Amino acid sequence: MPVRVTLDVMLARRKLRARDVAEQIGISETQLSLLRTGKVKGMRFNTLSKLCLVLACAPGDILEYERAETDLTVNDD
Amino acid sequence: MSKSAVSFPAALTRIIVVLFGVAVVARQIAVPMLLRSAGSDGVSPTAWVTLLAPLFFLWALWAASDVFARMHRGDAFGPAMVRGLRDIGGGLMLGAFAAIVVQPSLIFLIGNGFREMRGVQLDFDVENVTLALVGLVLVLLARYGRELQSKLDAFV
Repeated sequence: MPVRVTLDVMLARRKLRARDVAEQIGISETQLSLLRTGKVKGMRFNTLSKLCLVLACAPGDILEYERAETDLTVNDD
Repeated sequence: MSKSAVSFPAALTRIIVVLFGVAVVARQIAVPMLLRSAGSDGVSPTAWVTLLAPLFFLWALWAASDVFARMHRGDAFGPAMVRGLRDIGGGLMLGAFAAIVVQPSLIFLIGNGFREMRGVQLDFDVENVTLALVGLVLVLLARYGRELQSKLDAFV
């Protein structure tokens, strides 16, 4: 998937620990770890907005898109 | 208005299950036993066989009461709810199968003293076929729900 989660970069910039952020936004450390490593299918807007609030950033600061022409042919499963 | 601790549909369903259970056992077993003590033939072996389908249907109703209770508690649609739907569907399907195939075949065999072991006896009626299909729909819905749940779980 060409959408990458760059949460690690923001965490380092804000000098925050993943455990603290997970606690603040109300998800488990494991879930945040899966999110950081891109092992999830998606992120709820709810979670995204909480992350943006805690990290004082915009969605584009924690998500990155790599252009791929094949995206239009990818099926949702 | 505060929410009551006990779900009314769940409690009503459980009462119905108990009443139906008692009624079925009384009609098929207890009454013939009493008649036997009064000189009648008593409980015929086929009476035990005819308990099969109602028992599965009662199990399905009991599973339905569990689902009602979970809905009343406000449980999210999760594995327990899926299992409840699957149990209701399974109970209905097994009950219908017992009523359509198992009971007529066993009654036929018992009736001829297991001398004539030919074929399977079928007793199709609209009610049992409908129950079987509704059960199948519930089982498939439960399966679909489980897949949907696992997809939702992949979202953080």
